[in-house]
Amino acid sequence: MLKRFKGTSFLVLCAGMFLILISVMILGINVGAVNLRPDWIFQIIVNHVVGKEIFPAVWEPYMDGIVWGMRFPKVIVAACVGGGLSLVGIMMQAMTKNSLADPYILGISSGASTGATAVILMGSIPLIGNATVQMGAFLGAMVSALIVFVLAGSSGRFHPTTLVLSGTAVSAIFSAFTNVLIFMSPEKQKLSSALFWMTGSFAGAEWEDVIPAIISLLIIFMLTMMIHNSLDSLLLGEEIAITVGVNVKVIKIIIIVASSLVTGVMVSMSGVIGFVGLVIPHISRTLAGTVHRRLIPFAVLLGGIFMVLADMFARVVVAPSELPIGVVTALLGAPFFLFLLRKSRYSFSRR
Amino acid sequence: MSSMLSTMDLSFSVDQEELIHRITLDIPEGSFVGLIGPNGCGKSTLLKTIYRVNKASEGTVYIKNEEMSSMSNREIAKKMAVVTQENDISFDFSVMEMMMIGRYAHRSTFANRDKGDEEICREALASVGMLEFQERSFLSLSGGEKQRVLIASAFARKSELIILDEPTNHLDIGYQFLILDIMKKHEGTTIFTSVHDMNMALRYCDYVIAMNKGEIAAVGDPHEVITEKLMHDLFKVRTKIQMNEDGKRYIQYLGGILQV
Repeated sequence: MLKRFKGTSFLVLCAGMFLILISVMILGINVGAVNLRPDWIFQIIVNHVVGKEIFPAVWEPYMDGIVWGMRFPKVIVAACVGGGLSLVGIMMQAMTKNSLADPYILGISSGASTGATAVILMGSIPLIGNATVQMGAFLGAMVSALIVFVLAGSSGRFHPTTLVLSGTAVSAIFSAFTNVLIFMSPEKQKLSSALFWMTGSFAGAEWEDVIPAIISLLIIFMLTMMIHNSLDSLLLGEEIAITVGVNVKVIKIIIIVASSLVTGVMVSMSGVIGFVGLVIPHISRTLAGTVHRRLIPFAVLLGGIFMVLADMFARVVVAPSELPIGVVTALLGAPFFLFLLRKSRYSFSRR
Repeated sequence: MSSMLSTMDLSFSVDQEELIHRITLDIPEGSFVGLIGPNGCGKSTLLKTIYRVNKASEGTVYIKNEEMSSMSNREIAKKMAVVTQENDISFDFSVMEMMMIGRYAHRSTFANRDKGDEEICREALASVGMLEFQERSFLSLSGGEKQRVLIASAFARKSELIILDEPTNHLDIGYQFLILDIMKKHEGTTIFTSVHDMNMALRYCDYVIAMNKGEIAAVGDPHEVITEKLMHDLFKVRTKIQMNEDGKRYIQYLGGILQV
């Protein structure tokens, strides 16, 4: 399919995907309780980015507020979360040599949500505010990642069954912790915040989330592009990776720390959104190939597009109410997960 | 002849149990050396300990008299290519992509798709007759074709030493000859491989190292080492060593002596 796109034509393909992402984002801003003209959206954004009124403001002032103040930061965060979670999935799949690995299934998102909730309830450090929550989420993600990988990888290789079951168990434990923390808290909105951490939402995303979302996505993107050759070799198994010259230990540490960091940042803004890190890398592999140099940029773009679309769907389908985004991704992703399980290649019966 | 690969008192143990015990060996430059022995004697364990998938509990490995523990994985990979037995690959790479992964140690992280690397990979594929398969999916190949690609990948690393773990495993007899012929013809390379079939060892190896119960049982010219007594003691079979018309020995199997 798209595997034939090589060299320059692959760059053109990515540029095309990027344009689709931008269009989808504008569409995402357009959809909502108040309908806006797409050209106005574009003009409002350009005016703000440039800092001048290039386009005369023919729209109502409140529309400016909706576009720039509310919806624009949301779609940016959604796109970053989609791309980031896809990348985390790619890294974990390379490390475990298993295409079922995903931050949600392995319980790492749950760990992050526990960390974030704990910080929120204990009170964040005033000066750095949101950064403390992200820090807590990062630590939570790291702890759960270490538990899963130690449990499932003790025999030297990651057995698919052990990996998925360990992930499920760790996920259940951390979800329970999160709920205990929420229901111990004195605040009123317990149920809604529990729902947020369990099923995810971009409803709370604001401008102050945009910078950390973009920065963490960029960092993990550059990091994975720096180790793309190593990731390729890991898919052939640790034994081959070591013998072709990869320092497997160092790469694993990089993967665990980077995945926990990004999962932490993303989960602290959007709650737990499942299956994106599973579905997007898989589709990207069939479209763009297995080699990470191509897979990584492709999956980031596809993940962004997918997440913005899923968020749009979540807002439209039960309008004027909003479906939690994690529900949408689970509706799409869980059957996909079953489909992957059914395929003999990943079946549990195999050693 | 100078030494290409040597070990000194190399041991490997799991949970206090020593799987290989104080192995000291020396592979001369340019030789074709076979590692033989019954199942579970420690052939794979020894090879894995040499290529560092197993962490040696004691002892040292030297490549050209240089201690391996002082080298980085990348440096080692440039000096020693390995064809592992593990071939449980479920992700779909093309043949050329597999070849490029083999060139890992030679490629820089930032330079993508070095034209020179591809040329080297194509040459190596051509030398095993797999050039026309370069765009094919690796997973779609037959066992013998896969093995030829993996061997080409080892050639493409341009190292002086190639270690193989049972390269002819699961291959039919025609392919066994083909693979070993390819290895034998590859000039200027030292080959250290475990061999299952004693007739192949007699035919292809300059030296054999016979292992039994984690220790070296015998070392030397295969025609001297592989005797009816060794076959009886190590493999528990009755054999008759016969002579070909061309003066080469071969083993005739008369029957096993193992009982339930």
